[in-house]
Amino acid sequence: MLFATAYDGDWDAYIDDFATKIPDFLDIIDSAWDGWPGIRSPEAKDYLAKYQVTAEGWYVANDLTVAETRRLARVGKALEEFLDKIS
Amino acid sequence: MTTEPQATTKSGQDETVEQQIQQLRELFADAPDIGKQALENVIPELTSQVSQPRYQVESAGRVGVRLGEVSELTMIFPFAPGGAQRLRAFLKVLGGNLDGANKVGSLHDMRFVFLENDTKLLFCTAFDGEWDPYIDDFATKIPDYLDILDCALEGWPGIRSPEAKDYLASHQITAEGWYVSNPDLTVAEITRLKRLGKAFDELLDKISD
Repeated sequence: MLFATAYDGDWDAYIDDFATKIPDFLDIIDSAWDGWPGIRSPEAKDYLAKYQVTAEGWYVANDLTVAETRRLARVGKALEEFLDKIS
Repeated sequence: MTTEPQATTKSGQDETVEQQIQQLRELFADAPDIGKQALENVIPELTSQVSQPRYQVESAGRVGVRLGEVSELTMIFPFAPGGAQRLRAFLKVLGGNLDGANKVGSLHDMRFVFLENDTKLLFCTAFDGEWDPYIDDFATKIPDYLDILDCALEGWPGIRSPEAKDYLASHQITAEGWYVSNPDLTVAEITRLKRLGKAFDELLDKISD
């Protein structure tokens, strides 16, 4: 199975984010793999890291985090509503 | 029978969400305990997610799937003799940074990964809209870069060849699962919002001066 993601920041914090927010969904998906120790196991990160292959080339369109993109989407919406009101 | 289209399976059989979850439970009876317990833990959440998805997975056109505006593309190619060495050298000159692809306005992100002792290349991207215009966008904006990269692949006919799209499509594998954090936002819209946000911040700075 191939699993690829684009995420913000550093590896450890990202895996912790997955493990904290959706541990059960992670275990449903990952228990399909041979030898998955469970996301609550101290071996989970070593297991994941062992199967990762670093890309030789990488491109991203914008230098924005997910949080910043969402904030901008809200600002854009608020501005449009404001312009609608004053017109 | 159900009236909710999202409650039916991919094959079009009329099954309720409850029936689908029940089938999943039966299949997971043989799963490792970790998976079995995890499934039980999320049954209520899963039921509501499947019943009321925020977005439907749709076709991205010729191959691949799309959520909202954003589509996935996953391709695996065999390298031509010497191809892996050439491609690695080219990517090394760029420091692995493919920022030159920003001419392709429909491209969110893109990666090149060498697999199985440099015998295969994995190429994945997230892009806006439909498959055909996206490939056209690449072919129009950066044809030479595409040929430098893709001539590492076995049988690459060249981006100007009428066979180029068939070649690419034949190596694509559609994802079985896809997630996008902001499915409504194209690259163009994100870029516009970024400018707007910057202008708005500057305006607020001026007012407060």
